[in-house]
Order: sequence, then C-alpha cells, then structure tokens
Amino acid sequence: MPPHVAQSSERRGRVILRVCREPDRPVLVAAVAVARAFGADVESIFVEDTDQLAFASLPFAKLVSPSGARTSAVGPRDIDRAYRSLKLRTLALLQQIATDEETPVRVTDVRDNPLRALTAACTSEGPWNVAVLGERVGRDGFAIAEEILLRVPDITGIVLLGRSASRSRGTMVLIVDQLDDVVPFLKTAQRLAERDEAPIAILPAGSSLARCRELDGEIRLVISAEPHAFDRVTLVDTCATHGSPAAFARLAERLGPAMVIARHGGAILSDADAFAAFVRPLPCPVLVTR
Amino acid sequence: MFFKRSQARNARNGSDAESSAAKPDERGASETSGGNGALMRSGQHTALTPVELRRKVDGASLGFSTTAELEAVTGPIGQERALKAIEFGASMPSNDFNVFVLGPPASGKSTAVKAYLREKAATPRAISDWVYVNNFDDQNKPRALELPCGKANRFEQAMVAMVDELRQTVPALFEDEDYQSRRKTIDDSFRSGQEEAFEALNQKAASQNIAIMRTPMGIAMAPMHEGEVVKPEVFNTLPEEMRKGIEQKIEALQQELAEILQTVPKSDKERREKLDELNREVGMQAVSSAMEDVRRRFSDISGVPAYLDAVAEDIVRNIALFLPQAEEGQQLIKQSVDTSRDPRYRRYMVNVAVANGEGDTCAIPIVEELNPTYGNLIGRIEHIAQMGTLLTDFLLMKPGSMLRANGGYLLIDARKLLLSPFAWEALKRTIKAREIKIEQPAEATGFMSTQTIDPEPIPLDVKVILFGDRQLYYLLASHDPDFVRLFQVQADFDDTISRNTENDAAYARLIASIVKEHDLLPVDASGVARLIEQGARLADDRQKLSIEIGHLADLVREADFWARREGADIITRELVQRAVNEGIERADRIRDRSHETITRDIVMIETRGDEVGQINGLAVLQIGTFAFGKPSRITARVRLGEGRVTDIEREAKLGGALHTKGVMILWGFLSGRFAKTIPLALAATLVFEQSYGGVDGDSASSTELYALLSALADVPIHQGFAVTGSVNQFGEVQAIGGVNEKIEGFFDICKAQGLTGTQGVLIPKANVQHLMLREDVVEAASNGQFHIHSVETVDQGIEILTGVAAGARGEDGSWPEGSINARVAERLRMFAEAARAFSKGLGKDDDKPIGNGASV
Repeated sequence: MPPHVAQSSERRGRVILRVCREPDRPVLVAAVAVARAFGADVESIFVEDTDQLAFASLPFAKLVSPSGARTSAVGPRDIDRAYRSLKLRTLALLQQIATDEETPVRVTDVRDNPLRALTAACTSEGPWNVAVLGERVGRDGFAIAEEILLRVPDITGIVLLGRSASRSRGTMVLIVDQLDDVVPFLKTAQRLAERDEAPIAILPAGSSLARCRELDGEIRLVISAEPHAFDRVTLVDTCATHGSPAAFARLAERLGPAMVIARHGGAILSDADAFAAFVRPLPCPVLVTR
Repeated sequence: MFFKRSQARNARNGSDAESSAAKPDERGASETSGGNGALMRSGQHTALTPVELRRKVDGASLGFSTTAELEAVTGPIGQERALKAIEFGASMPSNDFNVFVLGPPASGKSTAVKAYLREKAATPRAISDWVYVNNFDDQNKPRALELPCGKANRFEQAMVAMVDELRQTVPALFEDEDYQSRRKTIDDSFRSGQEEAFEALNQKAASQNIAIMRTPMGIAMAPMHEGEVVKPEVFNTLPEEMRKGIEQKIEALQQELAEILQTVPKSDKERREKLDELNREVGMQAVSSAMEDVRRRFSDISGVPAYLDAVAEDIVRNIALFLPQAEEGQQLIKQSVDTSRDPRYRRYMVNVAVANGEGDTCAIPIVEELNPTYGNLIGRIEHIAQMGTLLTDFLLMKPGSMLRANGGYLLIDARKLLLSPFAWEALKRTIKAREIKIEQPAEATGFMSTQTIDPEPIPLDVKVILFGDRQLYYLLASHDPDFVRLFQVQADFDDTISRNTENDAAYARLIASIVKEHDLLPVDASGVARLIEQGARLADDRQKLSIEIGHLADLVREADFWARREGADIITRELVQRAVNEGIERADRIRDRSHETITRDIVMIETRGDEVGQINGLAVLQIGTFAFGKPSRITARVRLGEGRVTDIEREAKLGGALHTKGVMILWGFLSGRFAKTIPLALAATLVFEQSYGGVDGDSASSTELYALLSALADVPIHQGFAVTGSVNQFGEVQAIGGVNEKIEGFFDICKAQGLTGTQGVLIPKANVQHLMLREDVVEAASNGQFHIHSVETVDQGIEILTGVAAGARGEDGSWPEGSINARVAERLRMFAEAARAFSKGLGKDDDKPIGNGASV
C-alpha cells in the first residue's frame, strides 16, 4: 500500500495490525507511525486462532511454558481467557501510543485462522492495505511474508520486526534492487520521514559489482531528474558489500535507521537465510513490499 | 566620678596614674598651707600654664612640607613586641603554637599580620595540592589524593580529557567492522544453535504430523491433518491405539521442546560471557590508549597509579556508558553534553579540594575567612534533590578555608568564629587531630543518622591566626583550657606609642601611608601636626600617641572630603580641625541636650557664688564612640550621730562598688586625721543631686570629701570650681580617667553661664600628663578666664575651693586657729562631747544646734 498510495498521491490507506500473540511496544509504535504517515486508522484485529482453540479441546492438550520449565494441561476456556487478557493489555498500550500520535484506533475481534483473518480484513475494504504483524519474526519471517503476499492479494506491504528492532526514529533506508522501485520507495519514505524531516538513504542492492554500479548510476539519474522533489536524499555506496544481506544490515544499522524498505524476493530478501541475516540484526522495522 | 558605662576607661587611667603619682613627704598635712587661716582663694600656686594644658606640635619642626615627600611605612609602628610574637608563631612548626592577635579594634592588626605573612610566604616551601576522587571499592568513602603543588587542576583536566577521548574512541571501536563481525559470530553461534534445534524439532514434529503452535500462554503441540489441526470430534473417532500413539509422540516432542527451552538461559549466559569477554578486550584497548597521557604525567605520584588502575577497571566494566544511548539520536540538539557535566561520567571526575597555584608557581596560601561558619571553615557536603531523595557524592564536597589554607595560614576574626554554631569546637578538634575531615555538623555531633559520604581525612598543617580584643582573649584564656593549649602565642598590639621626635616622624609616615592607600590629597605639615595632636588626644595622654590606625584613617579621609569640597589640593590644619569638629557635631546631640538642662536651670549647677556643703563634681558620659564631661552637684550634710557616712547613692542602689569604696575611704581619712583620740560621733549624708542613673568610679571621692569638710568646717566652697580626683585615706589626691572631657564639659557650662575669671577645675596632679585640652579651653586659660589647678592633697584642694588655709598640725597636735582643719576638728570634738553628754542623759534638753543640719 504505501508505495502505491504514495505514488498515486492518495492521502489515505489502511493499516491493519494483526495481533495473535503478545506484541511489544516497538511493534505498536511502528504500526502507529505508518498509520500516521498515511492518514490511516490503526485497524487492529485480535485473532483468536481456531486451531489453538481446537487443540485446547483435545483431551491430552498441554502447554509447555516459554521457559520450558513447566508443562501443564490446558482447556479452551484457558485459551479464551488468555486471548481476552492479551487483548486488554495490548489495546491499553496501543491506545496510549496512538493518543500521543493523534492516530485513531479501531478494534475487531476475530475467531479464525490468522491468515484467513488477515485476508478477510484486507479484502473487505481494499485495496491499499499494509499489514503490521504483532509478533516478532526470525528466520520464519520470510515464509510468513511470502504466504501473506501470496494469499492476500490486496496487501501491498508488510511491516515486520526482527528480534533486535527497537528504533522508531532516524533515517529512512531504502534497499533498491530494481529501478522501478526508486520513485515509489522514495515517495513512501518521504511520507514516513515527513514528521521528523529525517534523512533518506538509498542503498542500491546489486547482485554483482557491475550491477551495483549500474544501479547506482541509474538511481542518480532518476534523482537528478527531480532534484526538488527528493531532498534530504543520499545515495550510499554499497558496492563493497557484494550484495551480502548481513553487510547491508550493518550498513543500514550505521545510518541510524527508523525503518528499512525492501522488496520481498529481491536481492536482499531473496530467501529465508538472506531474510534472517538481514532482519535479525536490524535495529528497526522492515517494510517488506511486494 | 564616672557614670557606669565608662567604668573601664576610668579604671584604666586611674591605675596608670596611681603608679606615677608623686606622693608628698608628709602625709596628712598640707605643705602649701599658710597655717594662719588667711584667705587664699586665688590659688595661683597650683594653676597650670597654657603649655601644660595642651601639647602642641609645631608643623615647621617636622621637617617636610607635605606627606607627598614622605616614604610610606610598610608595617605597623611601635608594635615590635607583637610583631616578634607573630614571627615566632608563624615560624614555630607545631600545631599548638597558633597565634591570637589581640588589641583594640582598628589598630591595623590584620594589615600588619597579612603584610608579614605575605613576605614570609614569598619564600618557597614544599606544599601540596589535594583532590578528592571516587573510591571504586566503596563509593561512600571518597579517597583523598595528595599531589605536588600545581598539579591538581592539571590532573582534573587530564581526567576529563581522558573521558572525552573515550567518548570518541569507544563508539568507534565498538562500531568497527572487526568488533561487529566478532560479536556477530558469537551471536550467530548461539542463536543458530537454538534456531537449528527449534527448526529440527519443527521438522521432526511436521514429519509426524504434529504442529507446534505459539499461544498466548505457551507453546502447544497438536496433531495435524492436511495442514489443519485435527478437530477434537475427529480425533475422538480415531482408534484408541492411534490416539495413544499420537499422545505419546506429542509427549515425547514436548519433552524435547522443554529441554531445548531450558538450555536457552544457560546458552544465553554463555553468550553474554563471551560477549563480555569481547567487550572487555575492546574496552581495555580503548582505555589503555586513552589513559596513556594521564599515566605518563601522573604515575610518579604516590596513590595515582592505583587510582588509575581502579578507574580503568571500572570503565572496562561499564564500557556501555561510553556508547551512544538510544535517546541520544533523538535529541533536539545534536551536541554531546560536556563530559564534566554528564552524570554518567561523574565517577571519573576529580574534585579539586586545594590547588596552590597554576603552572610551576606555587603560592603558600594565606586565607582570610571573613565568615567563619562551620561550613565555610571545615567544608560542606552538598546534596542534590532527585525524585524526592537527597543524593550526594564526592564531587559535592566543598572544601572549607582550613583545607584551602593547608600548608599556609588561616586568618579568622575570633568574635565571628565564636558566634558561629559548631565552628569553634570544630576548629579546635581539627587543629588537635592534625587532619581535616569534611562532614556535616550534625554528623560530627552525632545527631544525623541518614546515610551520607564519609571522605578520607586529609593531613592538616595550617597555622591559625585569630584576631580579637583583649577582653575576648582573657575570657577564652580563663574559660577554655583548650584555647590556652592550642593558641600559645599571643601577639599583643599596643594601643599607643610614646611621643617623641622619632615617633612623631613615624606617625607622619603612617599618615603618608594612609594618604597613599586611600589615594587622598597630601597633608601638609600643619595638618600632620594637628593629626599628631589628635593622636595624643585619642590616647588620652599628652605623652602618648594613639595607633588605632582605623580612627586616624577615618579622620584623614574626612579631612580629604572637606578639602575636595572646598576645592583645596592639600589638607591643612584647619581642614583636619574641621573634620574633628564635624565628627563631634554629628555625635554631640546628647551632650547638647545635657548641657541645655543645666543652662535652663532644670539641672541645678552653680558656677558663681559660695555654698557650704555643696560642690560641683564631674562625670564622663560615653555614648557610642563619643564621650563628654557633665557636671553634677554633690552635697553633704552633717549632724550628731553614731559614726557613719551615709552614701545615698549606695542606699538607693544607684552607686557602684567603686563609688562605695571611695566613700568608705573618706571615713578612713576623717577618722585618721581627726578622731584618733575621740569617738567620731558624726552622721553625714552624701548625695549626687539630680542623678537618676547609676554612679560608679571613685573619681568623685575627693569631691565628696571637700563637700564634707566644707559642711563640717561650715566654710563655703566657691561654686565656680568643679573637682575631679579620687582620694586615699591619707588625703592624697589620685589620678582619674577622662580628665580632658571633664574639664571641657565644665568649661562649656561656665562659658554658657558666663566666664567670670574665677572659674576652673581641680584635677589630680598625676593627670596633668594626660591633658590635651581643646584649643578654646587653652585660650580661655591663657586669657585668665578659666583656671585648671592640679592638686596633690586634699589640703591643697580645700584651700583653693574655700580660700581658707587648711592648716598644718602643730607639734602639740593642734591645728592653726581658723584653719579648715581646726574648724573640722573643733566640730567633731563638739559632736563627741555632745554624744557623751547625750549618753549620760544630759543632752536631752539641750536645743543648741551642734551640727549644720538645721542651719545650712
């Protein structure tokens, strides 16, 4: 959504926050920041996973505690109670953050499979939707993103947070591996950077040194064509990274990023390993676009 | 006679005079009496000449035109004894030989001491700087480090520079590719281990059609079929064996999962340890480099290397302090906080307690504490309020003047010190302990129980010099045993110097110094002469000069003021006189009112005519710094009685002890002279008429005796005279104080009522040396309008007052007929006979008056 909304000069889009597990503050801050930048409400969907409810009805249903120290029997009512408690806590924190940013919050309770719930939410009003996942991701983030992008046609981007993500202010970092992404990414970044007048850094991501240099030159041409439209933009020389996701992550980290925008399946987020190497150390959220 | 407020002055001059007063060869008899009872009122034999009334200085004899030609004096004049004591005290290397400089206020004590100490401090001597630093083993006990003179500030700056450098280098080192890759390797090795284990478990579970799900409560495992969790109703339809198999699989997987999860904290701990090791290595590299300079410059100083080791260890342990904080990137102003103000680095800062000089020059400290409160003297521990709690640390310790004066001299006003709570005891305690420890006064006295810091004491080597007046010194000496032990050197500044040519010249140079110091107009020789005369007047002694420099300086400054106002470019005698007069005029409202009550006949003082049993006494009133003489009528009445002189002042509880003593002496005189063989059947009353305040001093005792003799002899006293002087049992007149003010006081009254040429004052001969009378009094004396008589005996005095010879006792023991003494003796004999007759019952019908009580 953001690239498309921004590129088409639409002022508003939709930001859907899917909450299945306990989200922490940086996740909610990211959701509110994106919603604020695009004039959207934070449409929070609290999903009670039907698979978990079905599991809890099994006669031998047991849960292993997060520390692994305890295994205990569980019933559907326990799961239900846990979801309600999760919703209350999350909503309180979300509303506090959203109030500070003057961003409205909407709440929907859904009892469904999480992916189906997201699909339904996106298709109900579409088409400029971005999803913010309430849980942090690791290596599994690539598969999750892929599945969502594949199965939710109306979604245009997903905001994901790796285990190290905590920043919400700073440079907008754009990982560009194809020329078509330059303008929509820049327009999205400008929206997101508007409030703090934050700098924008473009990191060309070529799979080879030659491609990197070629991309660098092309991006320069695009920017120089509209010098007044894209102020505060710098082009970072990334050719020494040889397209390594980990090196890109370090480069991005040094720029003090508030958010990274990158294409799913592109040069940096090409597979689960690359995704893990890039997202895990990143100190900020990643907006993964289609 | 003095009213009570001037007791001290009276006692001082009186005692001075006693030793020098000449005594007649034959006691109890007048050498001057004619012995024939002839009238001798003129008293020419005792009248003083104008030269004796004021010791004038001839400006021309001083040998200069103005003070501009004179070299200013560099120290006090005439204070050799005090200076010698100061020199001894300042040089004596012992903690109990501190100095108490005593002397009158404004006598230049402080200036003299400071001038001497400055000279002494110019001689180089090894002294130390002191700093307080954090104690990394116990933050509540800051450490004190001794550094060579001039190093404290440099050490402080070096430590700030070291931290500054670390703020730059540490982030760079930790952002460096090398560090990041090493860290990532550690992270990855642990994370990937966990993730691999999870991934393997996931795959294992998936291969067994078991799903692993994260729920809000924990991790669940459920059987799956075609990517969906098997519903309970479906599960329940499965054969028993299959169900049990699934349950067993899930149980086994749960067990494996629990084991994996339980390894997380342990492996996380290992990861942290590895990271700590890496951080320590990188941190140490940064610290070693940053400390290179400070170690090179200060490692030869005892205690510093150990301290720097502790600093390095602490920095490495807390290296994260030097890494940018999350919020730093979001600051409005992108500028790092000054290191010395950043609370994160306080523990590495240095609190400079004593810094004796900059660069290579070291100055021995001479500290004058003008406000010697406990905190200013010993030091204080300040607090900062944070979230409702009072916090403190070693940087909030503020050294006091004792510490700042360490290795040198500390100058304190004793009175202010004694008036400051806790300060005196703290000073003594610190001198005795030879070390100074900054602590709260409440803590020192055991009243405070809240936690505060307990700094390491610093060895103390300071010479304390107290300034105070003599009374304070003697009070402390008699009431505080510690004082005598700790302040063994007394530097006693004299009030006066002898008047001679040499000292007159020194006095002129002193005036030149005042002129120079205050940037005043030069004083010409006549002005200096007048100032010397005023110095003698201030000393109350024509043979002395007051060296209360403050008063002298005030006078010269005022003369300068009037000179400038008149457009003069030099201070002359006239301008000095004007300054004197203006000063008197500003202060003499009370004198004017007092004299007005006499001139308006509200207070009865006769300056003409003759009266029996009535005489003018003289008192001195001191109000603030201004003193003036005031006449007072004294009367005596006598009658037959049982041998008692009633002092009405004493009976009314208005008379002081000295006055009472004086009256008792009269009784001794009368008994000794007239009642050796007969009983003294006399009752007499003595009173200060119209006196409503207290009376003290014995300077009126001769006056009272004259009134009593007049009453007994029934001979009138000329009221144009006023009398001052104490008397002893032999009839010798003794010195008193305030003689100048007393004479001038009576002169003013006589002048107001009209000078007759027969008026004057009788003073003790011993007081002639104190005369420095006003010029108008001297002029009146020169013109024969007013007379000052000096007398040595009561007989001389009574002759002048009555014009009747006192009479000398003959070989047969009798007095010349008609003389005062004969009349008194006869009257007392009559009283004795009447008393005897009365006791035998013969006097009851005798109406003949035998005393003057009925007739006078």
